[in-house]
Amino acid sequence: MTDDELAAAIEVAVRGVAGVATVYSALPPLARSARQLTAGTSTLPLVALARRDGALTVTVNVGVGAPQAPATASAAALAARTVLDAAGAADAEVVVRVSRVHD
Amino acid sequence: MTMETPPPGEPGDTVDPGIGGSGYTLEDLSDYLDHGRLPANPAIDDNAECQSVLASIERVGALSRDLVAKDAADNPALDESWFGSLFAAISNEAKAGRDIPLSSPDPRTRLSITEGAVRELVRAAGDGVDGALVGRCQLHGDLESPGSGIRVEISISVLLGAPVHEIAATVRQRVYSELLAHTELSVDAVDVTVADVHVVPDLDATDTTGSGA
Repeated sequence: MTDDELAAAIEVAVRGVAGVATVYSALPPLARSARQLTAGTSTLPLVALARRDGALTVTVNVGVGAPQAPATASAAALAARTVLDAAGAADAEVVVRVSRVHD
Repeated sequence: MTMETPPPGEPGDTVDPGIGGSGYTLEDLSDYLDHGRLPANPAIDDNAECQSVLASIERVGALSRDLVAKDAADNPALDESWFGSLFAAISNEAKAGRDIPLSSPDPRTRLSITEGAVRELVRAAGDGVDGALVGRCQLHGDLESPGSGIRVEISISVLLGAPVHEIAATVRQRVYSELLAHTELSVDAVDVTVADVHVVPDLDATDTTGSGA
């Protein structure tokens, strides 16, 4: 599984979490544009994966709805963790950032 | 719509990266909204800060869009400069800002909510109160240290003739409730200042000042 495939799988899992209204790009726009250019596609996953010194960090930016952002963020992290476990990346760090609250 | 390229700056000037680094200005986003968000633009749709600004524009509604479009000359409601300040504040507040931590039992997991999301939450709560329009929202205190007390400062405009104290109290209560539900911040105070009053344009046939005779 490539990093982009892993990121896409995490995005799908997080979108399926109750209370997650949407997933936003975790990469800054300029970095995302650069990645799109190098990857030759405009449909990159919105989840960001970064590898540094062998350690994997997964960053997910979400928009959440009712009832409570902290619980939804926690559930989103758990969904990401489930995908990572299945992919053999159980020790990855997961960062979930609530970027918007939709009411 | 087209993406406006900022004019070349003088040596040493910085190029405006647009809202959320998207390259799109407030006017671009307003145009995008006016066109029903079509054709879909992922650079805007996938950008939380752009979406925050769009949501704020929608809340303020047709009244503000008309004024932003410089049709305010014959509009007796909030003046254009007030709306200019309002949208400058919305654009500024939409910036993600600091990450405000949320607790997680898993040491391999970091959870947070952005400062921009919290400011939007506050603004939406205030705008949701009938007769209130939030002008500016500021968060004071150490947001990044769990348990540190913070203070929320909001300025609002109130509909002319509406009960000011009641509206301010309702705004304060709603903001507090939203922060309690969606953050783990320790909120010491929510200070609401009524900075302006406004009228609704389609009510201009009614003399709400009581000065007519």
